[in-house]
Amino acid sequence: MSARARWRPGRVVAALAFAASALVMALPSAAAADPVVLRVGTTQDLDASNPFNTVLVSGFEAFQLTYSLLVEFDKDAHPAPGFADSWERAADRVTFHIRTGMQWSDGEPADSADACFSWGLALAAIEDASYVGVGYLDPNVKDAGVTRIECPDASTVVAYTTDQSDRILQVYVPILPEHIYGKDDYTAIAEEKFDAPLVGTGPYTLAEWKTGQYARFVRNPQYWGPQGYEDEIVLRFYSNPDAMVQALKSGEIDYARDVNADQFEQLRADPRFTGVVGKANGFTQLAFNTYGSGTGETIEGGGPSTLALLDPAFRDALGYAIDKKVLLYRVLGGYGDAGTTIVPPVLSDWHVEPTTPRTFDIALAGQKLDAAGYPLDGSGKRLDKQGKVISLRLVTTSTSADYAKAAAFVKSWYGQLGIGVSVAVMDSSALGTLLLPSAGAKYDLELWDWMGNPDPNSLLQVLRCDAIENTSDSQYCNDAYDSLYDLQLTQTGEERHDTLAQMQNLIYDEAPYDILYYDASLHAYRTNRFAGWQNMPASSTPLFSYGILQYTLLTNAADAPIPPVAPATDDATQPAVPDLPDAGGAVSGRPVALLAMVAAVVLGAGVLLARRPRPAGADDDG
Amino acid sequence: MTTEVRGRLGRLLPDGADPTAPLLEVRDLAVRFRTPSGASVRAVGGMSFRLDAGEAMGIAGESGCGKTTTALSLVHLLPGTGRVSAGSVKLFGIDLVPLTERQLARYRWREISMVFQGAMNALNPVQRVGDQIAEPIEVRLGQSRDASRKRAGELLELVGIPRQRASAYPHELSGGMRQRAMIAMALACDPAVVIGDEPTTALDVMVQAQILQLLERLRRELGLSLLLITHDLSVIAETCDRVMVMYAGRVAEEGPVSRVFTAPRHPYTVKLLSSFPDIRTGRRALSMIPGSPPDLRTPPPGCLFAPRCEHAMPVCAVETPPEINSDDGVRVACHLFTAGDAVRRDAASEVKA
Amino acid sequence: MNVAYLVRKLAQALVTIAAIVILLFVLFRAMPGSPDRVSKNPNMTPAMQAAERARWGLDKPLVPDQLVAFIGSTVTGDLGTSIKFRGQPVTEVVGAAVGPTILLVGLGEAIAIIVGLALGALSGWRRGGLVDRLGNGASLVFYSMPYFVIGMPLIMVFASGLGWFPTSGMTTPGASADPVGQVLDVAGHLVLPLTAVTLGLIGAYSILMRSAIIETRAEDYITTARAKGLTDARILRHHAFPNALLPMVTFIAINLGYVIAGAITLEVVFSWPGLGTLTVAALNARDYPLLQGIFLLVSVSVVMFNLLADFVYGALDPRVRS
Repeated sequence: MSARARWRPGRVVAALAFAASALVMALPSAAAADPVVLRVGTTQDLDASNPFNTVLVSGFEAFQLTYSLLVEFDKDAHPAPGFADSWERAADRVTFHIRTGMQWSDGEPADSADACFSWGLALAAIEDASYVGVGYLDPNVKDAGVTRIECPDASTVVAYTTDQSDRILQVYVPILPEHIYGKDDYTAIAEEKFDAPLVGTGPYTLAEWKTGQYARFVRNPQYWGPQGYEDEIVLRFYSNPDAMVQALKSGEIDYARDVNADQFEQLRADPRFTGVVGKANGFTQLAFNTYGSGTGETIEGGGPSTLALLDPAFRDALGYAIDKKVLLYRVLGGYGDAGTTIVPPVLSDWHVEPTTPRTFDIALAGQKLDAAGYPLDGSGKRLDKQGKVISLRLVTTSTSADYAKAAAFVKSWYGQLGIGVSVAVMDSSALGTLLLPSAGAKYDLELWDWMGNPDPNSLLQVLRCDAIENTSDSQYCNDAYDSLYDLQLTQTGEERHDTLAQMQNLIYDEAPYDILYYDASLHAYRTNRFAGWQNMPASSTPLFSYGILQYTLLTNAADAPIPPVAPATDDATQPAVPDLPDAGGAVSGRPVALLAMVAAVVLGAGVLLARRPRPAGADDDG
Repeated sequence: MTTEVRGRLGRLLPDGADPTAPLLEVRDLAVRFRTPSGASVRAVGGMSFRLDAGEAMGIAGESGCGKTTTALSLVHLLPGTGRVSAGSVKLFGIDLVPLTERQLARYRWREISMVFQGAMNALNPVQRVGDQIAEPIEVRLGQSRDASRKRAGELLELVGIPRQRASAYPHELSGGMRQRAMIAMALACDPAVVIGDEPTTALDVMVQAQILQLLERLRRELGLSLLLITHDLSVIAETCDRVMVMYAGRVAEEGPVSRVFTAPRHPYTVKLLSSFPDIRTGRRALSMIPGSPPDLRTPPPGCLFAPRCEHAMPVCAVETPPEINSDDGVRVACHLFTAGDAVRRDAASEVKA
Repeated sequence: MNVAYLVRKLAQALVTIAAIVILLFVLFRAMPGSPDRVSKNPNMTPAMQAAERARWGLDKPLVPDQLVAFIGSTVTGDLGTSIKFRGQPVTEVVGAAVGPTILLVGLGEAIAIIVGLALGALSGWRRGGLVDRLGNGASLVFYSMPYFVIGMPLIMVFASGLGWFPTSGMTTPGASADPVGQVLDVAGHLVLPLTAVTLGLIGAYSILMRSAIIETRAEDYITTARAKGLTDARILRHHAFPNALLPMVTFIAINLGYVIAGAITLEVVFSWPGLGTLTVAALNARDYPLLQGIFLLVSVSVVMFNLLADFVYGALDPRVRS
């Protein structure tokens, strides 16, 4: 009877082992024998295989592999044949010619009806101001000025546009198979899960998606373009960036997207890997809360803490207190570019440098503040025109440690001008909500980033008056700027370039934004399995850039007689930057190696501590 | 109640036993504890006594005087830092003090078993009573599971518990029943000596009487040798042949119950007895003796009772009193009774008054 | 233990779960932030944002509309659609993550309970002995170490360094078609995270068990057992351990109840596709339906294991039974 109270670990183990093996057995089976697989690692988990529902770069990469765009991107990110193999522009329309004999991966014919169906979904959603496309697909169409689409015959698609821009050639509307989704309107499509395997016209179609683990794509034998070397592509998702780099080192993956600067340096020093610095189409900005500028409106209990923020002279003066070079090297490890205007240099057709640039000079910044009517008080604190001590609330997000680092520098520089800065770090959803005037917009400075579309419009529109209560994080409103924005929409070529130059200078001079730096995306890949790596375009990265052309251009590294030439951007060696100041909160170093060392020390100390003889008589009982 | 119990005479003695030696003879036993500060405290010092077969001896004294320590030290059950620092404990002439744990295991329960105070805590709360009684029979005597369960049932009946109650858990039994079960457990291996450590203290008066009657009967029927530790003199008066009064880890007085209780010699014994107005009926906790026992970490020189003693003399503060054996079998450790000193004998007669 | 008692206990459990779930519903929404403000999307127009909010039902007042809708659908077993994983039912998203979490954390708990209790018992029984000094020292160290600190060195040494195990994840995509190959593949991926979780948990169990044993060792019935001349091993197994186990039951039950919540840091470090990783993703996305689904599951599990603890306690401790 004493067995009742007896401990029977044996049975527990057996039961658990059984349960575990049952669980394992229940896992679905994977594919067969030894295909050539390109394995790509990213820290961004795929959110949806439905192109109308994804908001992530990994999602765009996934749907572009499966579904062709009407017009794709070539290796320089210029328009290239896609679902349509040619097109011509007339004043009010673009006529696309669909190649004949094209087939979906299931063997069904693919023709203009599929294109009209897919574009029709987007146009209907725009008309209803719907959420479909969650802000990424439809605005492309709208921004391109598309009003109507027609399919006069199986090989022709005609799109009518309000302007003559070429933005219609950069529209991310995936062409879906009408024979599968044709019965659905856009609201039904938005609720579709798009379960793998998917039917597409792209080079590889989604065959399997395990949430949080990987998405597997298989070769589409019906693909209209030249077949790629690899049979399969696997996107692996990592919740831990350090583990992703370890996986690249161990050979579990061939390509790693977005590694941090420390890891990147290690990988570049290793001949087995090539590191790529991809210029991002975006920037990190310090935004000033200028709510009420122009309108004089205020928010009850919210808004900026001082009217100084509404004064361009104040913001201009502060611009001299930011050392962009220090930020670039101390925060980004030198990978990226110092920030100036609101159109990133990667959009080389449109970017201009400011006509009257500011240089880092704290003393000059102080003089300018004095001159603009913001003197220091007796205790060295800066006063606004109402005689109140200026103390600014900086808000930023925890999505990357870089933001907090940059904020620490801003705090230290502004501090030298007698302006106190308090930093609050929160997650992106909390920050996104805080910025809304309806939620109080209780902040003075915001440090965050923007990523743009192939066309600069998306980055330009966040400073429009009508972006307030929506995308605006500076609450900036300037009718002159809005007029210029509307004007450039109707322009092309040189004309548009001049207007955009004017807008960039206007924002630089008025300074609702201080663009701190243009971010870079650090990727790395192994060179022992695949050759033919190329940055697309040259300033960017091979994968996760514009289009999916790279996936079909890889070759077997064993067949490449000469070792692959390092891409041009890889020689972006860092010049030594002497004597950069360090902000109090800014940390650098190699966290993983450091942690491993800490672990070893703690372990050793723990064992020593445990072995330390206890004082006599310290026994528990006696 | 007429269950057959294997007689004491037929039991196997341990190897090396001397049949002519006294059953249990303790000589100059000293027990020391280490304090948390590292000092060594002598809890029991120079204890000597003897227990013969079939005899019942009571050990009396205030709490903390070393009664339980003495009992536990016999088979090395002292907790934590306690250890026997000197002396010998001879059972059948075999000295148990130098034995290792492994060697000593042979003597535990099979030769010396115990009945603890408050059987609620002394019994394993999650094991059935019958299993706890059967455990030493099975493990120590190597009997089969069934045989040991059967024997446990017999023992339960022997102490007046129906054998069906073997499947009960300790908390399902009344206090008296638990104590009976504990006694049955102590008898499981038919030991040479049973030590009762305050076996009746936690019980109410009626139950106490029943338990004492049970012990009395078992002693009679089984010829038990009993070492009964209690601060309750009436229990000793009722059950024991001899009594040993301890004070601060030493023997104050020892002798036949009839002598000691009617004519106490040691001033401490006198005080102790006077706190029990009527030994036959009074079962009260010891009433106050002025002062308190000495701090054994810093024992005073001389007689340890001297600071509380009305009859203290200069010599008491200097010299430890020797134990004086008198012809009537009483042993006393008091300077009042140092041999051949008439003056002191007179003083002693005053003590009696 | 009669039927009425059982019914009462179950009813209590249900009320508890309902209260927790409603409380969490309100708490999640009280957090600053909103699912439509998660990603910085320069293309978003106010009209689209409004449409998006309407799609998730966020345009209606929290109380009573949203709450009533939530209670109504939850009662009918409809946990809604995930916001982050757009178009996927919450039950599906959560369902896919449950298996991996139970496999990793459940197995880790099982091993840790057995090894940890044994180690703690031995440490406490021979306090200051070799097992105690080494075992308890290591336990304290691992117990106080975050999973990241345990996990990363494991990855660096045994995965990318020696190449014995995969660095992270649960399966190799398309690695093997036959079931045996798949089991081996998962087993290979399991080794490092399982080691990490087990090390961490052993510490917790061993430290608690150690103190329980030390406390038990001072009990009178242990002296009785010693007086009985039983061997040390037998006293530990039959007298000290079953009693020291009693205070552990509740702790074990609570821990097992939380198995379903996964080990968040651990899963993130090893990119393990379990509920821990999912919780982080759902929290960052303010994916209210997904969060609610996960925490409903966790609440049910925790409450049920507590209920189970009551019963197991009763089975182990006769004093509770009567």
